Amino acid sequence: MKTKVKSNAASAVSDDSRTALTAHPQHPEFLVVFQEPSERNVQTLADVLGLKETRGFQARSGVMCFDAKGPQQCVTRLYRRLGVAAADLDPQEIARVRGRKEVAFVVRNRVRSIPRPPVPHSLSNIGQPVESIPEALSESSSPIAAYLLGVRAAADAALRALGATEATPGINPTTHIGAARPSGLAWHLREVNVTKKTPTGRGIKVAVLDTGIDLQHPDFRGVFQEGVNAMSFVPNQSVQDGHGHGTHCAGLVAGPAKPKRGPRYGVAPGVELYIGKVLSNGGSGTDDQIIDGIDWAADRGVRIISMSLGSGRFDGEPYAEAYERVARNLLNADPGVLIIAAAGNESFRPFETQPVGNPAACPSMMAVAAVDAQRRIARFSSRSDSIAQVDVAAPGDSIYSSWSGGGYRLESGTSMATPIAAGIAAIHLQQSPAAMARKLWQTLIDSCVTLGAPVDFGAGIVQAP
Amino acid sequence: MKAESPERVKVHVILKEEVCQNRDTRTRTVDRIVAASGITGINEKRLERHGIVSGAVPKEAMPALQAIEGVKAVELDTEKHALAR
Repeated sequence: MKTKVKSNAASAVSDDSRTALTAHPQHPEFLVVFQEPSERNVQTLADVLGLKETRGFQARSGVMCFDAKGPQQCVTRLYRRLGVAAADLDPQEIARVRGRKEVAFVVRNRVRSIPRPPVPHSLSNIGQPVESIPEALSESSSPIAAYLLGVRAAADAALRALGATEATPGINPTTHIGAARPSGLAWHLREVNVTKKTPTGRGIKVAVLDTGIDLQHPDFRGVFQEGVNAMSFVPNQSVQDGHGHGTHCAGLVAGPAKPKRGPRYGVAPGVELYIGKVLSNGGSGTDDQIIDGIDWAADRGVRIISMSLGSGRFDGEPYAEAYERVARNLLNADPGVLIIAAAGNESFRPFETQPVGNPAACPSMMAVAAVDAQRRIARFSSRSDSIAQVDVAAPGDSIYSSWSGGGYRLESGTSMATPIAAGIAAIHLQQSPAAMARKLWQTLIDSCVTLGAPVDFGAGIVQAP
Repeated sequence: MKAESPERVKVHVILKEEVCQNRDTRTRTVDRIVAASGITGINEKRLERHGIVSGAVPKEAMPALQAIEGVKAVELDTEKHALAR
């Protein structure tokens, strides 16, 4: 479906020198990734780089060390069990290394950081009138900005009480960004053109594959029955969501039109939702569980699968073949299944960007990036590279939805953008339920409002019809 | 002293599409996989639908598995995570 470059071997060396580790005694500048761990890699490295003498094999760590090629260069190291070498290479050496069939690709040795902890946004004490929940209705992702916008909204209200109108200089219209809206819709719904009059995706089967769902949440109580429309693929764990992430994602697809408390947050409240628990209560799961979940959903006639999960992928690393095979088969079936997956949260903008992770990197899965309330690319959102591309974007920063324990929470991530895009897909499919999955893919792309560079936003932010 | 058994890893073996189209070829390829890799706990439930066979193999057997005629790719069963910040 995508026009992705399928080269999975000799990919370009990253040109992002900002994040590369330049010459340093402990950090060679490049990583050579071999096709597989093999004893032959030692000889390959020695032949191509002219390294004849070794400093010996550190058996305990499985690392083979070669002498440095020059006084300013690092010791070349081969991590034998991993099939990866770290070396300082000049352009000619890069070309020679990349020309060997044993070598998959060469990438820069980059700095990896522990992600900064997110700014906590908890609405667990919700229970006030919708209009008094500025965080949920505000279009700002910053708590300080939200506070200031709240002050402005209060000032506007005071002015109106004194007789001011929209024409009064300085007063903000009630629908202005940041003002508490009487609409009762969380901000992300407006961004994707969902109003109270928008079709609800009625009759369309959608699956969320995640950490399960809070079966007792006031907005979902009695909706799901394990073994019928909810199934756990995690050993020894029921579909009950002990994490919260799955409940958040499920709520974004199909939270009710009139939630028990707070603003509406579900994009397509009319869909027939299926819950596959493929991630544990700790928030992780294996490919085996996830593929089982995909097949289970497909067997139930689901037309759209939302997967807010993944793992990082480095520049030039191939997409996952197993997922691609499954996704392509389902996309090409009649009428087919569209799998929508989170692009990943590996970037740390503006300092560093990282490519779309797996399985969203698969050409037959639709990869979703995240934007904030100002329609800027979210600081964490992964980008396209030579292997995989971002296809569309959706709101994914400070997104309000249901959470385990019966409450609600603001969360950020491409995880949030993905079910929003899935809900929009369901609304489009409701317009022509017999449409093939490939056609649905194109419809979703065509709906997008262009925002910026496709490498970040794909076709743009998805829109309801 | 008892010899240490080799470390086994869970893998997904993706067959080439042309192999998947014919039941006999598919079966022969799976037989070759079993013979060459000593795969255990074999899971063929995705074979007909997707052309994927899963199971546990000694880590050292992965290159041999990849080299089998009819095999497109061999991938480790990895972990995926929820993608909220």
